Amino acid sequence: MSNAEFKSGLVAAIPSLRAFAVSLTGKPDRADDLVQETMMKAWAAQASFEPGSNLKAWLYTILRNEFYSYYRKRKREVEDADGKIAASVGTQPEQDSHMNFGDMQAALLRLPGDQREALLLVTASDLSYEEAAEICGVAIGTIKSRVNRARARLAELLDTKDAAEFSVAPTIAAALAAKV
Amino acid sequence: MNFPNDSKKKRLGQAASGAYVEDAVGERLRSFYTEITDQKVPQHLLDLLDALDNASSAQTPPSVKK
Repeated sequence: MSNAEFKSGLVAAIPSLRAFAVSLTGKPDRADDLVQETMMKAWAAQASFEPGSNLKAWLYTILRNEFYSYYRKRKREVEDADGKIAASVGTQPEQDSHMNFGDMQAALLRLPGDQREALLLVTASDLSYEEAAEICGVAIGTIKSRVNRARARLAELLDTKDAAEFSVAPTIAAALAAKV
Repeated sequence: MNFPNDSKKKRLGQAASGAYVEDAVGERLRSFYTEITDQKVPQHLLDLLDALDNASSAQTPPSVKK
């Protein structure tokens, strides 16, 4: 695969990678940083990509590894026991039109991390169970189980939680990020 | 963002079938994703790829350039 082809593949994957990153982090700024790091890692590892294999799945694997690597490091560095960081970034949605987006974002962040990523990969990113299992390094049955539990929990959250509660999404995101 | 199934979902209520609820969740999740994927790609990401490509080209001897 030429540099031009590889670059074209990366450009085409950016929107999906950003959506996955926003869903994982709950923070658009952090998501773009994550995508940028993924691009750089992917470019550096270009020789290890097998032409003909699934570039999108390969990029998702890199992004996921970067995400967990970042939060493992952050967990060691950040203590937010009194919630000061979370409180500092808490904001209210500026417009009602953003409420549904915030609802989903907040609900996703309430799912356990392993369930959230499985649901995002299979349901939103259109990857197969097999591809999701390979990305997450678990058995296909585990992915199916996580997706089912995540969908059930997400349905519950979206049906039972009102908009006012979901409007604190950034605070939840910050609190979760500090604990991951 | 509108979710077309919301009104239908309210009509069906919580007694809706599990399959329907899963479909509704999937639909809302994909709408959420679409809202992000439809956004313009940040220019700095495109610039980054250009820079990486240029750097690679500069390091590759002309005879083996792809």
